[in-house]
Amino acid sequence: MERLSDEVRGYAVIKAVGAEPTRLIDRCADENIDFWGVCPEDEITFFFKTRLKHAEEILGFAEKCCCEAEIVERRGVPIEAKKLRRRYALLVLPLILIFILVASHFFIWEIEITGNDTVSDIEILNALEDSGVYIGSFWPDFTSDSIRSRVLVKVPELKWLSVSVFGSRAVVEVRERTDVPELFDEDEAVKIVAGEPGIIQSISVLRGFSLFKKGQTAAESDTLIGGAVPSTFGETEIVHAEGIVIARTWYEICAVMPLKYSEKIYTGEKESRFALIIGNERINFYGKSRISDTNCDNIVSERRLGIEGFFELPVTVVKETSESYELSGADFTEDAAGARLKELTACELRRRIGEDGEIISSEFTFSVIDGTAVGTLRAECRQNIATEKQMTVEEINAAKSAGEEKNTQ
Amino acid sequence: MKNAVRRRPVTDFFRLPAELVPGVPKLTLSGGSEALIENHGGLKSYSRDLIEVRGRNLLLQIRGEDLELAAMTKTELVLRGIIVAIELC
Repeated sequence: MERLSDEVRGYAVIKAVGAEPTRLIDRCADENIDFWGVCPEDEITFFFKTRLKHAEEILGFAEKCCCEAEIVERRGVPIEAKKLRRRYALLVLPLILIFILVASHFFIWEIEITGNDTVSDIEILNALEDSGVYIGSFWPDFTSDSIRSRVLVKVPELKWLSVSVFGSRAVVEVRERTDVPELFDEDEAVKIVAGEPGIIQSISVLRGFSLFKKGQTAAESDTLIGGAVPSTFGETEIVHAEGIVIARTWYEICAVMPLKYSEKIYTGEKESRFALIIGNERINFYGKSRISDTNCDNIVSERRLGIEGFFELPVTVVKETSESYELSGADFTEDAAGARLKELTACELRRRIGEDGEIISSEFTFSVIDGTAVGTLRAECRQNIATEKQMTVEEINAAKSAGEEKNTQ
Repeated sequence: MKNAVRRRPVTDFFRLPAELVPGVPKLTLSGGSEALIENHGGLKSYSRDLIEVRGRNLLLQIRGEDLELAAMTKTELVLRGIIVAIELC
């Protein structure tokens, strides 16, 4: 802390040479002159520090104390400031910076959108830009009401929007329209068909007419629960069939993959180029420098200037790196290929039987045929095979006419 | 031997504290690393291992290592460093 204070106030380093240089120190103490850091070089030479204003005064005492003194060095903020006194550009520059800072406060440099789930940020940003809110726009010109009315017309999925400006950051809060939930229409003509072939283990009909029983085998697309419910006394009723049909199903899933593949080997040739994005303007610091070879990876990294979590400037540094590579042939080991195919087929099986499905037993076989790995998964499962399907007009008419005939008889 | 030559102060005769006499040098030692000398008469010599301070009728020789003059005013003087011995001459 003392050192910082010394630097701020400034100090001079005095060199005193004489038979008794301590006399000069005694004199300084007598005159109440601040001095510190007394450092003896040898018996006749001392160095010490003092305030800038006392330096010349001490030189005056030296002769009376029978020694020679000289100012070796002057240091500190006042000295540095004195050096910069005639550099007018340095004085003007902070003023310009302050002006830019104050002026930039009236422009939007960041737009933050909250509250949107289905409507994308880009869609909202485009609508905002058309309404006059974009990076670099002059925010005192716009009002939340005018923007709201314009944006809501452009993005009908939104029902409400507000724009709040905090410094140079615009916070856009949106509310999306909520869709009317799909209502279950009980009178809709829907039947339940088999999504997969299988042996039915249980059938629970919530609505509709069961056409299959436990133990029967259903082929794919067979109607399991009909939407036409025959009535003994009246007309055939058309309903929205509902039910759960648990069946044992069998799958054979086959997957193939070549054992040879191409591997990237980086040559070490690398080129980088830079660009600056200020607001919406991009400044490229390159011509057409890029590795012309098509076999290269291009990595683009963007870094926003500012202090993370505190503030961000609307300036982004873009670095594009091209790294050249050559393709080289490589082989999968059979074990690796087998494991990969097993994983793929298991994943496919899981997708087909659904979340509620259960694998009773499974067997995976693997073989290599002409340089190609073939994996086959055979599995027995237990799953709900009920799938809703809209009844056709012909089906409805046929069901109704069959009901009428039955009643007539 | 010089101590024998030095005369006993008057306060000793009256059994009074020695510091009642104006201008008597007073040495306060804080541990072995700091010494405060009041009513000094200036420095006689100054080096890293020996500092000689004048008193009214005596000379204080402070021996040690890395001795440093921390602060000095007209009446007070503070020394810091590893103080090994203090001798009155």
